[in-house]
Order: sequence, then C-alpha cells, then structure tokens
Amino acid sequence: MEAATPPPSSGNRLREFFLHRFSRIREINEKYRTPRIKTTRTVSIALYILRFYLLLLTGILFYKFISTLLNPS
Amino acid sequence: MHALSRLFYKYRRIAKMLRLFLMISGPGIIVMVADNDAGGITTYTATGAKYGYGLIWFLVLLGPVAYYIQEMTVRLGAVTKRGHAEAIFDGFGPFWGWFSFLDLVVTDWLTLITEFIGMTAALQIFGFPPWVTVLIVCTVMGIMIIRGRYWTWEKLAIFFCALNLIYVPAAFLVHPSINDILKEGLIPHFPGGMTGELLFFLMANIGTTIAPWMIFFQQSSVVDKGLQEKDIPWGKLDTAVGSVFTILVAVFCVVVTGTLLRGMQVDSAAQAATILMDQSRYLGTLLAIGLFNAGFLGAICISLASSWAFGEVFGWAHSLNNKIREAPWFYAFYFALILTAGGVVLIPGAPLIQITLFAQVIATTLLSATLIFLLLLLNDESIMGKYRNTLWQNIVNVTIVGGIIVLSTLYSINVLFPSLFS
Repeated sequence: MEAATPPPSSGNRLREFFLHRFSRIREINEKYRTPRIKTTRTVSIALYILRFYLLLLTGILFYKFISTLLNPS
Repeated sequence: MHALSRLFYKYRRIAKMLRLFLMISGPGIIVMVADNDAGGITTYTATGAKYGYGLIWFLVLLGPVAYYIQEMTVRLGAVTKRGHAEAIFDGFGPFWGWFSFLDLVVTDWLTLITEFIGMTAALQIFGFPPWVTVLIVCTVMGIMIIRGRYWTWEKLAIFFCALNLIYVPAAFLVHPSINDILKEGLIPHFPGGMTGELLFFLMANIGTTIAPWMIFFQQSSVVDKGLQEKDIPWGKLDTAVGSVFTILVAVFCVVVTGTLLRGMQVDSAAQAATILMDQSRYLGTLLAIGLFNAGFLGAICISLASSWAFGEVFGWAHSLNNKIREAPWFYAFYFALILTAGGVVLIPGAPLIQITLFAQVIATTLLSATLIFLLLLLNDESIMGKYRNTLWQNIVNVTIVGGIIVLSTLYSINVLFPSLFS
C-alpha cells in the first residue's frame, strides 16, 4: 500500500514558482547565446564605447546618490 | 468625355490610397502625439513662459529629427516581425537584452508615475481628489485593453490624439501676433544668448521629443498591427503625419504661454493652467483638459510598450488581440504597472520631484543605448536585407544620434548637478 503524497506547503509552492521563473531566464539566455549581429569592427567599437559610456553615467548616478545620502539638504 | 473618365479614375485612385492609409496609419500618429505627454506639455509650457516665441524654430527642427529616428522602427518591425526588446536580445545577446529590458521597465514605470502626477494635478484644478483621478484612469485604461482587439485600442488612442490638438484652438483664443511669431519664432537664434539655462531648455525639449519608450512602442505596435514589408511606405507616411502633429501641438502650446505668461517662472503645466484660469476660465479649462489628456495618452502608450517588451522577452502571448486567458502574463504585467504607478502618487509625502528627475536621467541612459542598437540593427544586411539604411540615411541618422547622445548626456549631468552649467 502506497503512502499518500503530502500536499505541497506554501513555502514549497513559492520555491517551485521561483525555480520555474529562473529556469525560464536560463532558457532565454541559452536561446540568445549567439548574437545575430555580425561583430564587425564598427559593431565592436560601438559596443565598447557604449559600455564605457554607461559605466560613466552609472558612476555619476552613484556619486550623486551617495552625496545626497550624506548631505540631504 | 475622356477628360471626365480620367478625372474619375484619378478620384478613385486617390480615394483608394486614402482608405489604405487610414487602415495602415495608427502606430506613427499615436507614438508621435503621445510623445506630447504630461512631461512634454510641462516642458513646452515652461519654454513658452520663459522665452516667448523665441524657441519655436527649434521645435520645428525637432519634427524631422523625431521622424528619422522613428521611421527606422517601422522598417525594423515590418521586416523582422519582432518587437525592439526581442530584436536586441536576438541581435546582441542576453547581456544587452536584459540591460535594455530592465532599463525600459524601470524608465517606463517612473515615467508612468510622472504621467499620473500630471493627470492628478490637472483634475485637481476641477476639484477631483487624486485618488478619484487614479481610480478613473486605471479603470478606463483597463477597459481599453480588455475590450480585446488592437484595432479598438488604436482607434480609441487616435481619439485621444485628436483631443491633444486642443492647444490649437487655445492658441487662437489668446490672439497672438502672427507677425511676432514669424519674426521671433521662425528665425533661428538663441534668446538672451547661449546660457546654461537655455541649454537646459533645449535639452529638455529634445528629451521630450525623442524618448526610449517610443522606439519600443512603435516597433511592437507595427508588429501587433501586422504591417508587412509592402506597407513600409505607408508606415513612413503615418510617422511623418504624426511628427507634423506633435510639432504642431508643441508650437501652439508655446504660443499660448508665450503670449500670456511671458517672463513668468512656470514650473508645471498645471500651475500654468491655474494662472490662466484667473485670466480666462475657458483657456485655463482647455489647458487643464489638455494636460490631463497628454498624461493619459502617455500612460496608455508607455504601459503598453513595457508589457509588449515583457511578453516578447519571455516568449509569452503579448498581443492586444489576445483575450486575458490567452495572455495572462501580458495583462497581469500591464495592470501591475499602472496600479503601482498610480499608487505611488497617492502615497503621502512621496518624493515626486525626485522621481521625475530620476526618470529623466535613467531615460537618458536607455536612450543612448537604444539609439546605438537601432542604428546597428538597421545596418545589418542579414536582418534588414534591402531595407537596411542607405548611405544618406546613415549620414542623417548618425548625425542625429550623435547629437542627441551628447546633448542628453549634458542634460542628465545638468539634472544631477544643476549648478554646473549656471
């Protein structure tokens, strides 16, 4: 005689939910792993400049955030 | 007789073309007019109050700029049959895909809050408490998409676009001097010289004319509507008509405040409407209705831009033609966005000004990235085939994108450090 499977607790259900979401994200990452745009010299330079630009902007934002926190007035 | 039959043939041909245009038009007009959202109207109001008609020439110049950027999304959407978020994932891989998607969602949510700020401020002039406005807006927005067809949503949106033209009769009510408008407004010059404040206004006007959500919205909209490659010329015409409308509204808005509030410090469109209410009840009412409508139009488009992107990235059904049970995540995301954004406005003491400023800065981050991706995608022959950018289009677009990136970065820095340019 088989023992009846206990109903999943709300904690387990939540865990299942998030595991499923993360597996979907992994699937998306896998699906788009190889970029379709040909990495010509122009593309590489453009993406390199973009990374640098975004880092700079994020740095400025971070600095502003910290300075606002330290000096709220 | 021969002349008559030729005339009849010509008439039939024009009528057929007009019918075709009316069927295909929509995404371009909606995205361009919705660009005049609550933030946009506030910027135009403040520009008119500060510089009179002096910057009308600059607004007129922004029309072609907006057209050139947006027509690229028509081609990209019609050729690839996929939205912009998905196109970035496909073209540049998961890193840039997630970056663009998350940046879009955060920017859209913050901008949505600013639309609610504008709408609640506008209806407060008529005595509506903010919670009533938020409730009405969320209900109407919900009904608009639950009705279940892209076509229905689009026609309703076009009705609200037409209401955006309310600034045209408003401008005639103030009896501006046409001579002054032509003399001061259409000759390029910088009123009072190139100061830090003027630079801020120029950049704010660019920021309201080209926004990241517009690129995502129009491309997804083109896909949801089902435009084909053969429809590209009509899609371009739709975008061109939209750019004329958006500039028309901007110019007439500047004319209203440039005539009546010149030299005054105006911080918001709601404040301008309140001041004008004392001078002319009709005018104040028109302006308040215009502000509400601008916020509403912005809200319905921005919330959809994010929801479409969400569905595209996760591969879930994401069309307005789907019923709720067919695309539960798409609708859940849509409602979560509007309810949380509306809810923030109702929080007592919420930092609404900081949110508005933050929205502008984060939008700048996405704008530069989005524009670079757009250019790279439009230049890839394997994706675009014969619809890739021509040399002339590249010269124009690279110049525009370069200029926008430089100015929007300066704008962003100016928002964060206002004393730097003064």
